[in-house]
Amino acid sequence: MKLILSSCFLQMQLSFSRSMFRYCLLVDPIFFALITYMIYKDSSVENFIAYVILGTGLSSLFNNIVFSSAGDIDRERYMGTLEMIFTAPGGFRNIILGKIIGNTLLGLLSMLVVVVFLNIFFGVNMKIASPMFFVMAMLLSVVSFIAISLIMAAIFTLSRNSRGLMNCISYPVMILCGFYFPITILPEWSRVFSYILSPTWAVKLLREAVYGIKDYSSFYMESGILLALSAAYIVLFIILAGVMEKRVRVKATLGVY
Amino acid sequence: MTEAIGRFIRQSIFSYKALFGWISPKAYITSKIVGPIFQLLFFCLLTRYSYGSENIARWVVGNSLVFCYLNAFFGIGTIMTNERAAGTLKLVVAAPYSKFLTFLGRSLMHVLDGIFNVALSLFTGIILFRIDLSGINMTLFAFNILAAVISASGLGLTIGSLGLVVKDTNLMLNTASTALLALTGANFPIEKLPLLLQKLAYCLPLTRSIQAAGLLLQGANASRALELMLLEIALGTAYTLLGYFLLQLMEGLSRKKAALDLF
Repeated sequence: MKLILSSCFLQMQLSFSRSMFRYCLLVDPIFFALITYMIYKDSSVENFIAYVILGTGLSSLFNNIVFSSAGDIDRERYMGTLEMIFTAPGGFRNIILGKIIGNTLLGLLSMLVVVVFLNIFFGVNMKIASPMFFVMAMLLSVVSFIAISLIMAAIFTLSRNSRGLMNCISYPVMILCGFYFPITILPEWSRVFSYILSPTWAVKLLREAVYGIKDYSSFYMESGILLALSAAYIVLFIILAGVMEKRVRVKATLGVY
Repeated sequence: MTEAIGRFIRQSIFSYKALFGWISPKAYITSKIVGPIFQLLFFCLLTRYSYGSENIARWVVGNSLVFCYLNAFFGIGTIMTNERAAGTLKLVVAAPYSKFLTFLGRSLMHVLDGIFNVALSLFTGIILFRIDLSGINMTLFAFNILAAVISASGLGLTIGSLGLVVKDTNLMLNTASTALLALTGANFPIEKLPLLLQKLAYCLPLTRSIQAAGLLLQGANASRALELMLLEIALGTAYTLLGYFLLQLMEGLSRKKAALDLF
């Protein structure tokens, strides 16, 4: 636990010192909030503020964890330290988990930045009808995002092409998970992918909590699905981590840039 | 003369392949084809949902034009930082050759690749959203793409020249590219923006090209569209000259501060 916390705090300091992380955390959400607010401003879509704030907040959180999961592995590899943390007695998985928790906690700041920006410049507020359920949904979402990040970290450790993947993964997730618009506008066949991606359920729960929960049994069921998907991701990570640890030792490609 | 032009083109091709990292086609496909297609898809779906209109030609064209930032900013804008990373920046600076011509030579392939990128995005948008461009003046439209790429490249050159003294230009390049998405009218009319941001929008590349494309799509006022394109090129030229001036200034500063190879 101490190792995870140390890794988490160190990661938060390291991440915040990088200009790109600050861009992802502060600049990018503001521009995205501006774009989506302006697009929705005169539209006939009701309650669009939830789309703007939750969409921008969640997509920034997703970008932060993706860019840091991938980027941090890449950076460790580039600096020649990946082998060291991989063989550290504390365990590679614990170190990575600490890093991801650190980045995720910092990433939550994006949502706050968006709320403050829209309030100051456009006088917009997001009223949360069910605040307790919103907090619950947010906690579940954070756990789920950490689980996704773990899988990505394992994939990125295996693959040296992480940068390319990292650059093109955000928009498909934003589309499929319905961060900025409902997934019902997507073709029916594509919704299969939406349903197996946990952010779809995370954004759905958060939106319901903002609008006010009308059907509690449905809310609990969706929370259960989100938890089940997160658990499935963690199991997948454990399997992948096993494969990864074996493969990088056999192939000796961990530090090959 | 012919030899000099040949050298200019050769250098452009070599630096494009080496510095832009396109030695691997996988990197090109993910960053320049798959990524932009999903970005286009995202903004077009969002605008279609929000504006409730099936005719989203304007947003398809606007978002396609924006893609020239990939080459203009992350190609031309990163030349200096990539040279530094490769350890060759001091050789470029010390070489008895115009730095500006070196820069221009390295931009040539990016301009061509940028045009390809915009065309590919447009083609994808036309197919996916069944956009009808049959009534559009294609010659002017092609000229508009060229104007947009030249203009964005000018800003890329300006930011890139800062790479001689600034260690990390990524923040500037990313901010500039997102600003193009937000402020040039690619996704919503710039009249919706606060006045100050509207003024800023007209200082940015692509704003006029996107307006010109809108006029061409409406089939109205080709002369006004042409005027906007020429203004776009003028803005690009102004940015290029500013880039040249900054390059001279930064070269002097980097020599003075011995900051050339500092990470």
